[in-house]
Amino acid sequence: MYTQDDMWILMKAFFEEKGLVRQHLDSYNEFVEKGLQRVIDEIGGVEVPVESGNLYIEFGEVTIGTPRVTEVDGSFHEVTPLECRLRNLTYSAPLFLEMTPILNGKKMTTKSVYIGNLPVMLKSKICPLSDMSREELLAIGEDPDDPGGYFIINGSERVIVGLEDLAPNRVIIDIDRSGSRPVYRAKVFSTTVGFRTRVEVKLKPDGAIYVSIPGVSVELPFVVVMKALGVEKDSEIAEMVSLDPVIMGQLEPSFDKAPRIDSVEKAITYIGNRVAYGQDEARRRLRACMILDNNLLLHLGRSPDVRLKKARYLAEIACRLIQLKLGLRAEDDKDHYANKRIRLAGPLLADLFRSIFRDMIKDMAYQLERLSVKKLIEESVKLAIRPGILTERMQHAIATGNWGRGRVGISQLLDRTNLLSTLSHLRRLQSPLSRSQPNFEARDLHSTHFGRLCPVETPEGSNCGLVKNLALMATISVSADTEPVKKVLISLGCVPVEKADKETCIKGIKVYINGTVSFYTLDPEGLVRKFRRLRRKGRISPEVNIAYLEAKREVQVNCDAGRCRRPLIVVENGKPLLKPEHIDALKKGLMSWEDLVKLGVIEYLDAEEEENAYIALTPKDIGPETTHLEICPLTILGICGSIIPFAEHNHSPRNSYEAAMAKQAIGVYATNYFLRMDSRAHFLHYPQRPLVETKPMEIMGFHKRPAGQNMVVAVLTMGGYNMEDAIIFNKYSIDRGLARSSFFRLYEAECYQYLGGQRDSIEIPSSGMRGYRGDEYYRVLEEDGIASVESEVRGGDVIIGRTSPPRFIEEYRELEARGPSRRDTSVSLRPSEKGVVDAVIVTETAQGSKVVKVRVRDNRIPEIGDKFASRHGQKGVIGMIYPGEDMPFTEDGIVPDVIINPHAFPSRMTVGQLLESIFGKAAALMGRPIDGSAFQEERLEDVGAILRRYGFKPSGREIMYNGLTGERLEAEVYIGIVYYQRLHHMVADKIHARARGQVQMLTRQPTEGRARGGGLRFGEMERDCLIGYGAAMLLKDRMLEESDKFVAYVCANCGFLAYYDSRSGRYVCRLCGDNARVYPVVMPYAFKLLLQELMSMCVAPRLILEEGM
Amino acid sequence: MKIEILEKEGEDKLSFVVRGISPQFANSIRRAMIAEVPVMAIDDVYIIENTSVMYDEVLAHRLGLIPLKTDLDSYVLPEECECKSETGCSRCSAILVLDVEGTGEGVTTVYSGDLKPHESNPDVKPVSDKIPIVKLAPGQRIRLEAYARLGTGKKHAKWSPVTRCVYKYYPVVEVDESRCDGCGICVDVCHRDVFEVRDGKAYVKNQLRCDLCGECVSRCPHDALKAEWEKNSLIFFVETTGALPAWRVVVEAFRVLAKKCEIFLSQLGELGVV
Repeated sequence: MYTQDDMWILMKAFFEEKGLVRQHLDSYNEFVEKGLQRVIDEIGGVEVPVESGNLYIEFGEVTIGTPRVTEVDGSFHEVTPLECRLRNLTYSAPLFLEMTPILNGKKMTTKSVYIGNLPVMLKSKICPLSDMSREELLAIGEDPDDPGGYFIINGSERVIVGLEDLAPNRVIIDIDRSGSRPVYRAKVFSTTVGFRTRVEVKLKPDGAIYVSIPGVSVELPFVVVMKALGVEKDSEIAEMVSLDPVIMGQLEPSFDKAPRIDSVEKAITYIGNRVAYGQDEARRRLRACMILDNNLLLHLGRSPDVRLKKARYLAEIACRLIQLKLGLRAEDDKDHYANKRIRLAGPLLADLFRSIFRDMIKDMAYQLERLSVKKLIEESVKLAIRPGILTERMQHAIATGNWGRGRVGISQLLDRTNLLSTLSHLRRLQSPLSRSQPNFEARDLHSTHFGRLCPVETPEGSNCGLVKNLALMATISVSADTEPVKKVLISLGCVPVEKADKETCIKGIKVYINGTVSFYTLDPEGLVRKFRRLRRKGRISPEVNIAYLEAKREVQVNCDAGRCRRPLIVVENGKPLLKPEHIDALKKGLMSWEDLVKLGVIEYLDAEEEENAYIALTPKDIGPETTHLEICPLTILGICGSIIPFAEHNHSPRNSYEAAMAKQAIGVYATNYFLRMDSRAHFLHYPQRPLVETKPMEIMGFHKRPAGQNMVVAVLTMGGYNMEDAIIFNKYSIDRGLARSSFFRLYEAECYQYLGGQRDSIEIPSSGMRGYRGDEYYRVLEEDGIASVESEVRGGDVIIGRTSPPRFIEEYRELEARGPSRRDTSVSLRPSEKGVVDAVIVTETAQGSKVVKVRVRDNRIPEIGDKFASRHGQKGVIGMIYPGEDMPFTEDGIVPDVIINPHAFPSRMTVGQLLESIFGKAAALMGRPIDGSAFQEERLEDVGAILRRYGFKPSGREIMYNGLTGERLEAEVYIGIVYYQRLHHMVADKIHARARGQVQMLTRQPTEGRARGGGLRFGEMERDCLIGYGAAMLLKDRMLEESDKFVAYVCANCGFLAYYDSRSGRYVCRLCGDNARVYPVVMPYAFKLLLQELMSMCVAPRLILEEGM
Repeated sequence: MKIEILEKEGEDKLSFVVRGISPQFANSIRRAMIAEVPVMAIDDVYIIENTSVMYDEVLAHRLGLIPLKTDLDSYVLPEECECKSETGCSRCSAILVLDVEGTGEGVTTVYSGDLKPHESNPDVKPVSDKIPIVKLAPGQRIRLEAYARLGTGKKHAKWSPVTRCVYKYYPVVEVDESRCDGCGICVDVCHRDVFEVRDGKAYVKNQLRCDLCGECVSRCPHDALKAEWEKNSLIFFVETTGALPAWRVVVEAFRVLAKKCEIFLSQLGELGVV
């Protein structure tokens, strides 16, 4: 049979062809190729009443141009993503739509009209990057290994994170046990293009069935709804539900409880009475019909002629509820992955585009009506379109993540900390479930997640289990056509529901297509078998999955988009179809992954079809019943989970911690970092490929963009400066460049234009200007007002000098004879930072205003307090840096870089790190990396033997000498090589102290936060301590003297605030006048504020004064 | 105290046995060798032009780590120099110049050999010419002046003359021939290749390699082995960066210690104790 290496070749073939962001690209490609046109066809055209008769504008084909940008002067040119990032532009392509005006039935010439810009997903089919060679990509300043799959909106990279939702158009039944007696419920999220409703059917304790439809405030009896839908006779209803007498019997209460209605008309009136009470009968009936057609199960259609179909669907739901009650059927598992669909960029953009396009058409019709159409209709069509609507609204939605209808956070800023964080972000899924509710089951790992979602990578805390990440080989389906599938099903002997006779209904098994009963079959097993055979032959799209669920007596055929699927090797008659020849062909490049799919050697299974599969983990496990073979067990992990060596030896939460921390490691986030202007970025100076690596690293490109260094790690206490997870560093290692990094921060200044033609200008502000800071702050500015490159800057230094016109022109007229002067609005370095000016860019935005971007770099040498972590969730800060001569040494001259505390291991059980340490040592000795991938069948290398060969103890321990005393350490020390990551939390960014400083304007209390030089909060609990201790003076000092001490003048007569009038030199109380007795009172300013706020609410707070202490 | 040279491999490597020395005292010598023997290293770099992709501070850091041939007799530590100037004089600093431009089609690698000593100090040059500094694309250029000074490892690792500078306890391994049956377990167990089996008996072949881990003693089924260290006997291993010969590092380390002792004594004298 084949080895793990062969499987590895197969896996590589998959990733070489698909990449790691295939789901985004597929989804977006589907949208631009078919989805856009579908939306436009769905709308079709627009009717405009004009003076000269009836104008109809018919929409034709939509075409997409190449990404371009429109400058202020109206010219446009093609853009590269890099230009967009630097100039704060949007990477978008123009959309052209063919429009044919038909005036009074007369067709005029078809025109292609520019309707707006569509943001382009990088590396999608409409992005020129998708078919560029590495050299071409380098030439336009891109990182050739950038995965793409995101958008550039106003210069920032944004991802549309996948939305994991309950599958639409599917009935989910469950039991509500919250009451004293169980209620059997069925829910359907009925979705069709752009519309979404929820229908709930309940079998209540009284035995009757009720339906709740959105738009109807009360629950309607099931029987009434059925009758309204056109099933008049009781017997017909019962037969539609089921032909099984037992189930039919259960319907009795439903008939008993329902009002006596014997016709369709009456049923509709019954509903009408409940939805439009008090209106005339025609209106009531109309409303009822509208609700039946538009709100009830709208995925089946929205015209009156599908009512029967809806009735059949409702009957099916009722049948399931009764079965559930009788115990013939189990509750549906909401968390089963077959019941989940993932909505990616494609469907989400389609939704957005539809609503914007609708609005745009409305606007167009309005414009046309206004315009005089008499002259030239053909031209006016073009004039009536305002492309800005589409461009702006598309951009705005992706830029803010605000999709309308309360859906926020759909798009996020792409995480560019390092390669892993980027890839992982692009493969992230979010559940819309509330994070404040427990939702325990939804957060749990489900067995159907196997191979689809990473079991390791999920955040801790409130989002735990709601934010997920795709496993390495998981793919998301795009929709396939149902028509060919239906034809195949008929040819395989299925009977359409409408044509089924009673016998087939009783004996047959229902066949569902995308959740709707469409056929009956008498031989489900044969059907499924034959169907699969056809699919493997390529007669049916490989996107289609079929499953025969024996327990539920149904066959499910799925063609819809958003199913999470995973590839497996097909096994027939106990033999995998993948043959060594295939592997050879793959190796030689004669065959691709897609060829194997076409040959039926590999197929994708969704969670539903996987229920029918019996999957062997390794070729050895194949038995006579096996249907599939796993490609590689480690693909159950996601991006971050798969960089952990020996992950299967670790305690599982540790792997989760590491998955979160890997995203904070400093490394090489992009190879074009020189050209990029990220608002903040870190860059590791001497990144290393790990000595103990894993196979997926190669696919991810981690070797080319690593995030860490191999360090010699000894496990010792050494004076205790590594207690509580701290780590001790060797100063000599740091001196020699260990873990050094650069930090980049971007400072940006735009020249705005103001009303009246005034504008900001970039220049060195002259002294005497409003807000002038003093000469030394403008030290580094060159004549053009921008800091010179490579100049050293400290906190507060001005990097970009800018002056603005006065805010209010009238403001200074009185005071200044020369008229208003300009203000200094320079951009200066953050107060707590320092650095060297790294790069300067001067450019222009799409709005035509000048933009200056300055990147400041800071060399970050590891210091006490900087955070580091191994790849096993073992994080710690530097607790001490010992000089090299103080470090322990071995007789071979090995001095550790890092000393960690032995207490880090027993309770955390990160055996993986111990293994990595010893394997790393062996790798270093052999001079080549060792594979530490998870779930290896066997470890080829026997580390002990290797170490022994090179003159080291097989245990990995060594005799060491104390560098301080010179004595031999009694214990043997476990020392080896571990890959350590420098995390981006550094003391330099956190250190903060304050003596005196800024106060808030409103409360006059010290400001909050480091960036504003704020104080450290002396909070409620701290206050309680002082009270409890009786330290009154200290309490007063903290809360008053050192905070917002204020002397208020209070009138003892009336108890209200008075004031001192400096002009007359008198204390005045406006209420008491001459009777006033005004005294100064010391109080916190916040209290004075409270008094005034109370007054503003018509509450009269009077202070009663007594003799002071 | 008795000294015996074990190995002398070229100028840079030296190992010797010292008998009658306590680990504490030996350690102070070791520490002096690492951190207190002065050596030349580039300290200040004046970058005139740098159009390479490497940042100035990283470039300077790399230059600093290049070991330089040190002539301890003609230079003094800057803080002990009479010139008291910031830039230094010819007694306390040496100048090196680097001027390379990327030419041709491909990548030009700048090596330590390109770092040319100024004519006033022709002997202060990199130990090796083959240390890569930075790679240049065509048209990129680096021009700089580097000031090398003496310094000690206390301040920065670049001023440490040694790479490996350790000692170990002198091992004594004995086989009790009367007990040994030549089972060979000790041979298998020892990762340092100390034993061999000849004619059905184990013999110590490589005594000084032993690191005294004791594995053989605990694993010997016949209790025939003894591995202990000789009290107050140590084996030193000194390997230098090439800046100074190994013997010179040892000698200088003693000088540093002697100087410290002198200072101590003179202080005692001042206090009137002696």
